[in-house]
Amino acid sequence: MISVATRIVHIVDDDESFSRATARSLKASGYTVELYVSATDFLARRQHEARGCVLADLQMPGPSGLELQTALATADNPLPVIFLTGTGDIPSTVIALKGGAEDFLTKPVLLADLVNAVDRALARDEQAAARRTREAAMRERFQRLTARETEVLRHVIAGRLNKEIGDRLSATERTIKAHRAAIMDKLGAGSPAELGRMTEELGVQPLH
Amino acid sequence: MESVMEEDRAPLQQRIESALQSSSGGQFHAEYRVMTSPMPGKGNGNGTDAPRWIAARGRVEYDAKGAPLRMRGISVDISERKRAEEEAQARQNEVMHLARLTTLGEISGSLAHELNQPLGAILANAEAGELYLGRTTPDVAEVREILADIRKDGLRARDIVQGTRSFLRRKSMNLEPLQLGDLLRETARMISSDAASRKTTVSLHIAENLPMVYADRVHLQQVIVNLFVNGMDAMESIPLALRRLTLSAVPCDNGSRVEISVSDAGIGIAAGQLPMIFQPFYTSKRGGLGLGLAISQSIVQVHGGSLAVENNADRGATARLRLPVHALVNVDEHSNDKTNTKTLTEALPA
Repeated sequence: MISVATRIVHIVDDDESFSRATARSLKASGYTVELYVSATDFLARRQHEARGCVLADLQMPGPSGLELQTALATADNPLPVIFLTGTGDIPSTVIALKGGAEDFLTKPVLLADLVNAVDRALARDEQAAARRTREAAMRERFQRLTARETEVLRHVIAGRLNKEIGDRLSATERTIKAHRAAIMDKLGAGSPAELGRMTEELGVQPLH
Repeated sequence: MESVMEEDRAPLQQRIESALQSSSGGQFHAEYRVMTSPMPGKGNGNGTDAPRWIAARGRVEYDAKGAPLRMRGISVDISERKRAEEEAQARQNEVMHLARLTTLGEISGSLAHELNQPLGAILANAEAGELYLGRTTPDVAEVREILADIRKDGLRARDIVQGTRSFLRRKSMNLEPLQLGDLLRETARMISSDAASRKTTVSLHIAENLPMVYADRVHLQQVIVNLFVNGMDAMESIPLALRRLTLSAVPCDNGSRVEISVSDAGIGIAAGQLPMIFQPFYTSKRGGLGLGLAISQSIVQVHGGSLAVENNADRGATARLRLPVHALVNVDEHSNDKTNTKTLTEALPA
């Protein structure tokens, strides 16, 4: 269940009347709404740990909705974007969807359709947030490894046996075995398979 | 008099009578149509010929007591010129209509976007209103605000439709030879009270002896008023002392065109917006429809002219409207009707 604090819809639209009306109907449906008059306004005022989703008009003075999407995509916390447009021309729809837009709706939109799209986007934000939390926790555990343990880990994920690693690092097989146990313990990995998954998620490269 | 076409008789009679009054100075000038009697082997085959246009110029001479003695003058057949003018007029109207049709295609996309804004807001507001009323304690104050917003957006949609309709309506252009200086001074007077209430100084720099142009008075004034209003809007936020509009008119392109420019000292146009300002429904003004410059440009194009807007080096922006000097009109002053008839025929594209 998504908590109220994360059911936030960031509306980015230069049309004040449309934003106000949409904000009303979303608030009445139980969402928290933040309003921004332009893409620039949103990028300047948004909190970096912000949650929720973005509901943006495609055509706005200043940076367009597509430019907003590009700017968001490179952020640490890329909020899912739903586009709302008065025209819905095919080229920009294609660009938006290729750029990872959660949804593409045309104005005027029925509240039921908007709510569906918002819920899907919020669910994706929830998943992304959970993944970020998990990654942060793993990264934090990874920081606890000593330089030597990190080196051993990178040999391990390259698929080498303790003896081979020992030879390469001029250490005994027993020492390497002890390092390996410490690594599994510090990272909280239950099996070599889990260790593999974790390192892949964190982007740790095997040592060749 | 019997050969003069019926509807031209009364005006002709009136001109003759007024020329006979010595107070008029005796100058007489009239253009009228006469019916020509059918001649065998000629004409359009129905036994009638098209009426001929006649221009008559003359002067009444008076006796010592101021009573009219005689009238001297010439009558010239100007049918060719009249026919050329009518053709030019028909062609201009056709061009105008084609220009509008092209624009219709171009604007349909932006029109949809523009109308969907208020429609989207109305729909969202209506649905929000239903939710607020459905609560155990309906929020009447909120619903009242919602209804006010719905009304405002309804009016906005109506304005968009009306603006578009008047833009696209086929209104015939009445092109006539115009003295630009008089027209510009008259237009400046039309906006003077608006300018005064907005604390804007308007200065005019109109060159002497501007060549005449062939234009539609009302449409051209609409364009210039629009440029004035844009200039004033751009100066809304600047100190009163700096609010100055300058209207200039000078011959340009070796005398083949006249440039009318309207210059303001306002906030100018952001570089990124310049390419968009002529697009229908593009506006940087709160509550603006975004049709002013689009309409102005289509009017100017039908006149065979051009309209461009640029930022000034120091501050503000300048709109430059260039209109071709009308060859047909400007020969008139230096030649009599006989040679003019010839010039007219040659000056017209085949």
